[in-house]
Amino acid sequence: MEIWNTLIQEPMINTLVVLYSVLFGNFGVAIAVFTMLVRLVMLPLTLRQLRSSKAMSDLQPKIKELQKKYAKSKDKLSQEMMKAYKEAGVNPLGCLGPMVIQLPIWIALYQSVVGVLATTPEQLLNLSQRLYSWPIVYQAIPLKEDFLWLNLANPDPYYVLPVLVGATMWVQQKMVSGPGMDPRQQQMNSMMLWMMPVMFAFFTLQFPSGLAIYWVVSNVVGIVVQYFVTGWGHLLPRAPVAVPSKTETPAGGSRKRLT
Amino acid sequence: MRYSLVAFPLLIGILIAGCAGPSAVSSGGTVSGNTLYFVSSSGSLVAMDASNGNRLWSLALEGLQPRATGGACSGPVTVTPAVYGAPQVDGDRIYAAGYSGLLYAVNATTRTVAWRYPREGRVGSLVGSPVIVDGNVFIGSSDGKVYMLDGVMGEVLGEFSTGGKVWATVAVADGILYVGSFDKKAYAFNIATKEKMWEFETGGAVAASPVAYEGLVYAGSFDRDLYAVGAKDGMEKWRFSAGNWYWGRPVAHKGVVYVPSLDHNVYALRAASGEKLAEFDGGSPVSSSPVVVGDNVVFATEKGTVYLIDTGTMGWRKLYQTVGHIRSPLFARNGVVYVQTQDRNLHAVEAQSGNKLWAVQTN
Repeated sequence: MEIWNTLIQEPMINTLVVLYSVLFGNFGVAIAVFTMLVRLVMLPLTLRQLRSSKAMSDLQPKIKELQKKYAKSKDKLSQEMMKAYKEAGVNPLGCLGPMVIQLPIWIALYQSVVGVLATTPEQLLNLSQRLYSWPIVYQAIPLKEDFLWLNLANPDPYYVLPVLVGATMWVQQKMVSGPGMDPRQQQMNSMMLWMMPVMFAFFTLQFPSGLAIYWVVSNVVGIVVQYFVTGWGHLLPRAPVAVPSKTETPAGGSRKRLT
Repeated sequence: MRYSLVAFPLLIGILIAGCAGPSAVSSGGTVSGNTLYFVSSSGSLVAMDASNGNRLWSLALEGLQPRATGGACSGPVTVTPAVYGAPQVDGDRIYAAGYSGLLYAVNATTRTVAWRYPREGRVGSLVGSPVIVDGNVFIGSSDGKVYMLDGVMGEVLGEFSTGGKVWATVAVADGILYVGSFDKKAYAFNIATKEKMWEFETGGAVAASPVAYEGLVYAGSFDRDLYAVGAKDGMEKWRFSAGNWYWGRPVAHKGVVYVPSLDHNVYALRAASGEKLAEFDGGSPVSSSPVVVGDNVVFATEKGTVYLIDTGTMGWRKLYQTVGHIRSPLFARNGVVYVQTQDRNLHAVEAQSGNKLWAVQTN
């Protein structure tokens, strides 16, 4: 736990406070800039994950064909699937690695925003042990909580942020959601497409709005990165495609590629 | 749907990791006669026999009950405690101020609420203790004001405004009100005229309660400096730097101020000049306020160690160890030190020997 605090949590907290001081004491802007910086640092991982996901998605029609063809022989099916993955240069678990690394970073980012807001005496006392001995840091606490119409320590009274959190999350998920291999998976996909944004929007109703800003900015950055990797993906209605050839993009929308 | 694979565990993760918040800061207490008063974690004013810890009576104060505060890390997991500041006694009145923004006056004889302020709605969160002077009650609020109320009826007699939250217990001496504010300033107000006499700017928020002593006011700041300023003119006389914020209220005894800091130390400074006479490293932050017992100063660290300083020799020794952490101000009466811990226990410790007289749960 102490390693976590020293290596991840404290650098994040102190960077956030420095940004607050540099950005004219505006914590809302500091959260937004900080979130973008963290996403930027994680960009290589994010790109790797997205490309891996996209490659998997592109392979789905072929996998589907194989499932039909070898419906009666599971061993043969798995052999052929592995062969298909190998030919396409795809590791089925390739997107999990970056995901596993990103998860603790996101949790730390979340904890940092909560910790720095420090609205109660015990939170301030805990924060005092996490700050570096830099005047720009320890003199800046407690932070001003006002930003636009918000008190960053309280939920948004006008429900704008919960809507934004839900909407941006939905867009991001919709962009990556591909056709499922079977009806059951498809059903699960469409359930998750709505469930997660609704859940996060619901939690945002109770979160300090500073956290909601983090979520919105993080989602928007995710959408932008996603766009440059896969285009709008499945967000836009797909034009009917006869038979996807090797040179065509199977997903609808424009496609750009980052190298 | 790989995004969900990230989002769902993330949500669970943050709810677990982010919300496993710190234990709540307990209210301090006070002893009047042979009765000890404190506010329980459930928001009841409790009267106890100070000699044996037996509960005499309690009164639920509806508006001081704990409540969840905004955010995922509040919700059902972290609950804001009812009261941070210690209740105060004046005659048959007991005053208790809550984080919910309500101040209660309780009649100790009838054991009923005499009045509450405000009667309708709430003011900003009240973190410091009320201060009673000449039957009037002074209490600082997170709305940036200090309210002066008539102790009998609870009528507002005056308001003193600052530019930031007032969490520190205010100080009153010789008709002057001293206030530390989160706007990085310490203030002095003439109570009779309600006018500001001076303001003194520091480099950080002033969360530690100011202390007026022998013509100077001592105010610790988040810029890690303790300032000694003239009580009448607000001019800086000296300052002393620590390694972290000042949080707890200093105490003064025989020309020396004993100042706790979150850098683990209590500093003994000559009150007039700021010369450092000694420092006592308790090994963990000292956020609770020390207390003077006879010719000794007793202080406690967050990790639950209670120390006694002999102010004559500046020698010191470990007095007592609690299991729970200590953040509440210490209080004492008749040679007994009372220690409230974060695990909701109240310990009565004999100050000279360090013997435990009793310990009870304060739920």
